[in-house]
Amino acid sequence: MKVFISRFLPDEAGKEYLQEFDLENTEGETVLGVLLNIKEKKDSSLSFRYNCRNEHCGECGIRVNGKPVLACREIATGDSLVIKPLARFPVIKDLVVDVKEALNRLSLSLPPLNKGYSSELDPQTYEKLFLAGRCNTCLLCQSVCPLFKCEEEKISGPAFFVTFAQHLLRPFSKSASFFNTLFEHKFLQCTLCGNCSKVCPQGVDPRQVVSILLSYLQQLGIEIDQDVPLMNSLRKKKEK
Amino acid sequence: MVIEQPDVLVIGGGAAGVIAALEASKNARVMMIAKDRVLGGASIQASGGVCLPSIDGDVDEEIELFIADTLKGGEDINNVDLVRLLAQEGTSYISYLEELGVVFDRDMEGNYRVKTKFTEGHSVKRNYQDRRMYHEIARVMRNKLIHSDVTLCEYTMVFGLCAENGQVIGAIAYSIPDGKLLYIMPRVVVLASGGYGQLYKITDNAFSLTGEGASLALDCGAELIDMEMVQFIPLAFPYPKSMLGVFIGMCSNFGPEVKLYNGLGERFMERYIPGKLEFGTRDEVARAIFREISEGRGTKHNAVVVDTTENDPALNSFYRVSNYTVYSMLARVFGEKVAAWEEPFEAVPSQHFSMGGVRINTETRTRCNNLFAVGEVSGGIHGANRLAGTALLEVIIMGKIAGLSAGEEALKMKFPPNAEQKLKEYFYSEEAKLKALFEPLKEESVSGEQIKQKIQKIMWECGGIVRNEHMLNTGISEIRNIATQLDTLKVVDKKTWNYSLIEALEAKHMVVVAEAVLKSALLRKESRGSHYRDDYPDRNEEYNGNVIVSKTLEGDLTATFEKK
Repeated sequence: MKVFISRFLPDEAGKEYLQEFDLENTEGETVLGVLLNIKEKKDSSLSFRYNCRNEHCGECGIRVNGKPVLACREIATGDSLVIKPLARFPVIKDLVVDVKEALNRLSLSLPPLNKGYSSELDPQTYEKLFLAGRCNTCLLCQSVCPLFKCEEEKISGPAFFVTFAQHLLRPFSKSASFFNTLFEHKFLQCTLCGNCSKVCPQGVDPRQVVSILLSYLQQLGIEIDQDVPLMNSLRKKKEK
Repeated sequence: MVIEQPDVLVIGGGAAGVIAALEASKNARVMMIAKDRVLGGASIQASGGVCLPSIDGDVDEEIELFIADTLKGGEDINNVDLVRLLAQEGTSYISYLEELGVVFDRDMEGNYRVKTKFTEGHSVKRNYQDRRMYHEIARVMRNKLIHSDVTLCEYTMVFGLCAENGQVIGAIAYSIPDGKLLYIMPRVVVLASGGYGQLYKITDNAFSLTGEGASLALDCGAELIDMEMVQFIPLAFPYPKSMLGVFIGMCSNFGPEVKLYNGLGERFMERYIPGKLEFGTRDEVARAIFREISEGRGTKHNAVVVDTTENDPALNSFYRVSNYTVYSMLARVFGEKVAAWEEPFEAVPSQHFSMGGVRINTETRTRCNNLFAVGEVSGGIHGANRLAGTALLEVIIMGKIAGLSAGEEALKMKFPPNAEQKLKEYFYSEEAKLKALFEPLKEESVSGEQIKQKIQKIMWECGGIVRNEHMLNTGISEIRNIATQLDTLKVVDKKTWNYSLIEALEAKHMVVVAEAVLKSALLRKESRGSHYRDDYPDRNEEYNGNVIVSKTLEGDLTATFEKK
C-alpha cells in the first residue's frame, strides 16, 4: 500500500509537502495502525495525536482521502491513502492541529443550578438532545463546517451548538439573554447543510440539534430575523 | 530559569485529577499537568456504568452490603478504612455531580437508569448506566476547569519529582506542544496519573497509561501496595495490530449459547470449569484462554474462537443495544455477520485495571507527607480484585477527598531551608540527563519505543495472567537486563510533538514499575483474586495481608509482606 502523508515542520518555515511511504501487510489494519507502523519502522519523527484506540478520547481526528475520520476507527483499504491534518484548524506539525482554542470555546460559564432536573422539554425532544450528549468533542464536524473558522473568535460551528444544547437539559432558569451567546456564535448563519451530521463518529446529528435549538428560541418568544441563512434554508427545506 | 510555584500540583488529567484540582482550587493556587487532553486517559474510556452504594433506599443497610461485596471481591486484603470511606461518601456521588452540572440518565419514569441485570460480584442492582458513556461528565468537568483558576497544562509529562527530608519539593515536566521544560516548586503534589496497564503487551488501556506515577512516588519515599494485583478481561481484539487488546468484554455479552473453542476445535472450558464453562468469573475465563494460547493451542492469530452462532437470533438486537460500542466495533473490524451472530470471531484476554498502586490513607496521603495519590495510581481500595463499576465511584469520591486534603496541607507545608538550592541542582541535573538522550555516548542505541516493547513482552509472558516462581525470576532478570540498556536510549531531535522523547522518559519509569510488579508477585506465594500462580494455585491464609514495595536510599526496590 502506498501512503502519502502531509508533513509540516513549523521551525523550518517550510511549506507543507506530501511524503510517500510504501507499506506491506496492512491487511485489516486501521489508519492509526498504519501511522504507528510508519513511526516505528520508517520515520520516528512523524507527529500525530492518538491515545485510547477505541473511539472514545477524540484525539486522533485526521483526513483520509479527503474524508475526516478518527484514525483508530477507520480501516485502511485500497491501494493508496492520502493522510492530511483536519481542515479548518491551524496545523502545528505534520498531522497535529491546534484544537485548544476550539475546545475551550465550547465551554460556557453556567449560572447556578436549581435542584432536581429540567422538565421544560417534551420527552421526545429531551431524548434527542440527551443522546446528542454522546459527543466526544473530536471536532470532525468543525472541520467540515463552512461556518467554522478557528482563527476567528465566536464562529464556533456544530460542536458548539451540540455542547450548548446540553445546557437545555440542565436545571436552571433560562433567560432570553442566556441565548445571546448563540447569536454571537453565528447560530443564524447555519445553512443546515448537514456536512457535520455525515461525519460524526458518535452518530450525533448536529443539524437536528440546530433545528431543536431554533424551535426552543421561538417557543421562548425570541424574535428571529427571517432573512438569515438559517431561516432561508429552513423555508427551502419546507418547500421541498 | 523560571520556577512555577503553585500551592498544589495535580499530576494527571483524568476524572480523579480534575475533581482533586477543582476541590483544591477552592482555597489554593492549583496547577494541573496532564499527559493528554483533559479527560483523555482511562476515565473517558469507561463504559458509563458506575456501581453506587445507594441509589435510593435503606442507606445504612446498603452501605454495609457495599462494603461486604467489595471486601469479598477483593478477597479480604482491601484497606477496610478506605472501603468504608468509599461506601459512606459514595452515597453522595449523584448529588455531588449534579451540583457540578452533570445531567444523569433517567428512565421513562424519571428514575436514574439502573441496569436490570445483576452485575458480577454485586449482591444488589446498583449499577447506574449512562447511554452517553462518560462524555457528559467529561463535558462538565472540562467546563468547570476552564472557568476555574486552575492553571492547566495539557500534553505535558511530569518525568521527575524531587524530595528532601521526606517531603516532595519539586517537579520537572516536558511540554509536548512546544518542547519546553517546566520547573515547578509546589507545596503539595497530588498524583492522579492512572494505572500501569501499558506495562503489558496486551491491554485495553490508552497509550498514555504507562504507570510513571508509581515510580515517581517511590522516588519521594512513598510505598506501593499489592502491585501484583492486575486485572485481566477475557475477551479483547487479537488483531489488527493497532487494536490488540481493545476491550470486547465477557462471554455473557454474547448470548446464552456462546461457546469458546481453541485452535484445535476443542471446547476447552470443559477442562477448566466444567460446571460454569464460559460463564465463570472473568479471572477464571481469562486464565483458561491464556493457558490454551500460551500452551500452543490457540488459532493462527494466537487467539481463541468465540462462537455465537448457536444463539437464538431474536436475542441479538437486545445484546447489541446493551453493548453498543463493542458490537459496532466488531461489525467494523470483523464484519457485520460477526455482530449479527452469523459468524464466530477470535479473541484474546487483555489487561484491564491496576488494583495495586501507591499506598494511601483515608486522606489519600502517602508515606511522603505532602504527596497525595488518588484514582488508579493509588492502591489498597480494591484489594485482590476490583468489582465492576467501582472505579468511576472511586475517582470522584477519593478525588474530592484528595483535593480537600491537598488544599489543607498546602497551608501548613514549610519548605526545608535549603530547598531552593537543592531544587536548582536537581533541575540542572535532570536537564543534562534529558539533553544526553539526544546524543548518546555509545554507538549502539535503543529507542524508548523498543524498550517499552521489550518490557511489554516480558510482562505479558512472565508477570501476566498465569505466574510461577520460574517465570517471575526470569522476568526480573530480563527487566534488570533492560535497565542496563537505559543509558543507550536515543531520542530523535525535534523541537515539538516529540513522542520519541516521551517514550524514552516513560521507559525509564516503566522498568521500575515492572520490577515492582514482578517482585510483589514473587513474594505472594499463593493465588488470590486476580493474582494466579500455578505453583501455588490455592489461597493461603498466611498471605492474608499486603505486599509493600519501597525504594532504598541506594535505589533498589524491596518488597516486604505485611500481615493484616
